[in-house]
Amino acid sequence: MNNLAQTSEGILVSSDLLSQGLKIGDNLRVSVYDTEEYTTFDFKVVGVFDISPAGIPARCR
Amino acid sequence: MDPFQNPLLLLVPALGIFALTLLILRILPTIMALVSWAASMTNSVGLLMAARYLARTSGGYTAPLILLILTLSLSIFTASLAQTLDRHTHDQTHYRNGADISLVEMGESTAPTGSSGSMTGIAGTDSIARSSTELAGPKWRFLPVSEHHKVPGVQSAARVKRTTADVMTNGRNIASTLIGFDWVDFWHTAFWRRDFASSPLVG
Repeated sequence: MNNLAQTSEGILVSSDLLSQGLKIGDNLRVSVYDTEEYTTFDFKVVGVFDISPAGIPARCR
Repeated sequence: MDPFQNPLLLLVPALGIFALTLLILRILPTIMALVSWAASMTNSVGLLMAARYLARTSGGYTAPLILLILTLSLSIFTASLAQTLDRHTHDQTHYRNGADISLVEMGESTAPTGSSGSMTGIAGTDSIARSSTELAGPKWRFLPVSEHHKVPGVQSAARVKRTTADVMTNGRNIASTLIGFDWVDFWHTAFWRRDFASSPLVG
């Protein structure tokens, strides 16, 4: 969370996603389809979690 | 975790307690013999008499001892199980909601009233053109989070957006879930356990 505060484009990723060849500090492009259009965001990986609150555990997916 | 789905979760500890009780009854005379031997080295006549009596007449107190051990052990086990179930229910509910309470808010669209497309998600030509021109400003308006703080009993509140997303990494698209939040409010509002990540939420 401290890293998120210091990096405006920071993102925390699941350990599952990190195992796909990502590492802390990598840039990540994310496309979101919401309401009526695709929007693309560029993030920087600043941390990792195993389970997110109100989310699906990475290890159960 | 539902112990009624698997009765072994209840039966195994109870049977284990019963087996341990019988084992203790078997070795208790030997232990009492050792105690009486140790007591014979001292001047404590009362302790020596009691230990010898218990070592020699183990059949006299078997039934009450079984009842005593079983009662105490099963009450401790039941209390422990109840506490575990309570914690499980608490964590499961908070994990599902993300916090004590989860509210779904409907935003107000900034699109001009009467125009078609933006609210229903129909991607007509005009709505796409309008969307591209409106990217500079917000498309939806929500009540400020501070409004929730005015509700009695609310200690903190955080706005969270959850949506599906495609993550592009190493030339591949991975379907994921993107959760957006304001970290200032999130860290002291969201439910978090130490085993969610290897590092704490706030260091």
